[in-house]
Amino acid sequence: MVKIALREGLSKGNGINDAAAPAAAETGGEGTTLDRLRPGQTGMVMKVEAEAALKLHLMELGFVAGSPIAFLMSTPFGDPNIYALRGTSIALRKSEAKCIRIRI
Amino acid sequence: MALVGSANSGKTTLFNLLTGSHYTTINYPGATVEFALGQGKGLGFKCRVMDTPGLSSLIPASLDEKVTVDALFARHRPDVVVAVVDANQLSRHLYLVKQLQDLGFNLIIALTMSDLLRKRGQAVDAGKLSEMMECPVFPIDPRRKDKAAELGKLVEKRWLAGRPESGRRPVDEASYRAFAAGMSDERVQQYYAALDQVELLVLKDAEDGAANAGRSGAVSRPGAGNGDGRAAGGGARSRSDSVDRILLHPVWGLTIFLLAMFAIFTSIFWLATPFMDGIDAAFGWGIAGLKRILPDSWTVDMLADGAIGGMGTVMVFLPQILILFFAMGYLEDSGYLARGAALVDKPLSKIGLNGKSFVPLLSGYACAIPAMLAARTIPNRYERNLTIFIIPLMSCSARLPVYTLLLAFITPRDKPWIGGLALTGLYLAGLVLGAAVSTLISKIIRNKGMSGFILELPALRMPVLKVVAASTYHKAAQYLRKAGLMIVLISLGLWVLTHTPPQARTTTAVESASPAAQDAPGPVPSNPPSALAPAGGVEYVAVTHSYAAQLGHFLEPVTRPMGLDWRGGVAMICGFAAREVFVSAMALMYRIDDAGGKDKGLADRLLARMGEVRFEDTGARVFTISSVLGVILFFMIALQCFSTVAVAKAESGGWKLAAAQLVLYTGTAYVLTVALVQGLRALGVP
Repeated sequence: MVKIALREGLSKGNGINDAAAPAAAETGGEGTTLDRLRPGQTGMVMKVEAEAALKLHLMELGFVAGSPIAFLMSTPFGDPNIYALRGTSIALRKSEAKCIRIRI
Repeated sequence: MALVGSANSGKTTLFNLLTGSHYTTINYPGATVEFALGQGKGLGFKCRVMDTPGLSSLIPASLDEKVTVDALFARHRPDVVVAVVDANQLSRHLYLVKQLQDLGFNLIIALTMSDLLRKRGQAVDAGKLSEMMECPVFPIDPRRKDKAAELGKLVEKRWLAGRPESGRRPVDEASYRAFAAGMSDERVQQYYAALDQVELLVLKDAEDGAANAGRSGAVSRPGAGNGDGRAAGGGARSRSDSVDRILLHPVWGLTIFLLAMFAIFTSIFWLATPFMDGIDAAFGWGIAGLKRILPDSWTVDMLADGAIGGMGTVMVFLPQILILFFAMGYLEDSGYLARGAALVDKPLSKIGLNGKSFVPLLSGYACAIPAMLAARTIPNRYERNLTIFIIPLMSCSARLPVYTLLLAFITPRDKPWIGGLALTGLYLAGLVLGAAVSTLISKIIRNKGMSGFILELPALRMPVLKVVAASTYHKAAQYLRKAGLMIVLISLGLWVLTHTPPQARTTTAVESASPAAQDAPGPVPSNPPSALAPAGGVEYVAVTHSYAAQLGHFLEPVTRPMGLDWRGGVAMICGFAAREVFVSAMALMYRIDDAGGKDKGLADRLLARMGEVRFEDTGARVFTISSVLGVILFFMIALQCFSTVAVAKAESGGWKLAAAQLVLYTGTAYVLTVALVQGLRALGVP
């Protein structure tokens, strides 16, 4: 039963979590961008706003709606900053973090 | 079979395990280094194992990812793909697996780093994962040998099951193109939604083994299965994070970084020197011994001095290359190089480069060729080309014998640390020069594309020595094969050119007026009679009347302003074929093979000779402070390696960049050298 649900999820977009994701994205009003996330704060990704290739790349790395994201630490020169995403640490420049809308 | 997966998932360690570290690295024009093919050992059946550059998605984000994709669909089409998945990053790594599956590859998931997951109190239900992903899941710790055979059997089984006869959809370029075209943001979202489900059901508490659905709110959120392990405290990732806070600390982080770089470079000098001296002495011994045993003849001399001497020139700097490759491999495996890249991203961006230029530039200190190949990880074309452009200014290891010799000449013998300091200064100068060139170019030609960084920082870990040692060995072997062969051939060729046409003379000819008997009209005849010459034997007077000499005289108008005589000029020309050959060419041109003190090492004899040699017409000394500084400056800037030009052309996609490098660097080097030498002399410096 679970397997069938998965396949449907892939082809029709009717997976359990998909119902939650669009709802979250629509509350765009309270969103902010990732570069504004302060040290120690945790947020949830809402959407990525960037040109097509960059957007796809970021999403493929795991910056999809609903992903929890946390600010880990900064680097000596202030840029890039390190974020925790889906089990790994990712360094992003401020200009790149700006493309990611999040909800804190 | 092909190993595919993220760069930091333990894939390379697994590859070493499966091939027993016996593999060859293939460099397709434009492939980054670790594209390796080995024979599966201990797997129970014959199989070729292919390692690929790290990949996070079948839609490549940079050139090195493109190489992997090409390999999977065009060049090699593996029968079985082993997708290496880090148990701590299920959703992200399974994303690639889903893609591979959708395209019809015959898959096995190798699940690694379960021990790190366990430290966080979680574990993966492999059976459940296998059921949900519809392919075998094989948990394995690649650092331990025990599971290799089992994995082999699984691969074999899978292979047999997946043959075209059994009705499997074939994988080809057309299906890839359709797949790539159909990849959209929504599709990615769907994939992750499905994978979040998988994570939820597959991750469980390590202690009681029950499914985690009812655990703290942290886990029930999508994508949080692994992501919140940090917040929960404990576990290897948060330990890695603590260390990162030091490594990326504004003060400590930078200090550690600079110390690390300093340590690498000084270790090249201090650590390598005793080995290099040893090798140098060994070769000197061997050549002298050979000459004692075998009869005196042109051919024997050619073999001894030309061929073996040439080989000696190559082998002498092998310790340095090994040390640098090892140090870099060690740092890379530990994960530190990614931190380094993040650290220097901002400063490098200011001069037109990218934090990802760090590793290629660092590699340039070993050899420019793998460095230029490493630049493929830089997504932006402009930044990649700019990196390639300045790599030759990072003084490669071929320059070290030249620097060492020349610095030994002008720095005091009794204070070796001055020489060491000067050497470090030269290396830094190359770096500064590179930064200056980069800044200049970035102001003149603008970067029109989009610059991106986005770098994953792998969890810090202790490097697996076996893997690092294997990779060091392979890199060094590859280097020796390519560069070494050419150097030996050139040394041989040069020896022949300087010793033809062979002219016999007897041992009593020193006083005779015969021109064939005279070498350089120096204060000390370089061929003292009887003491060294075999009684009654013939000696071949090289150099003065050889073909190489004729070439040297022809070029004298060019080399004279640099402060060199025609013999130094010929040595410089040889430096263009391979920089290291300059040293052995110097030895040949100034005839140290029969200089006094046969028990001394090559270097000592050459240094002594350099102090004596004078210009034929003016009688002034050839090697003075100004002329030696001039040669050092020339070697620092000039592009003398034709292999580099070829690789630069291939990597930048055209002749323009490579030609500009060649002309700019070599031309500027000559102009600056002449200016330096003449300027110093005008100021009264000898």
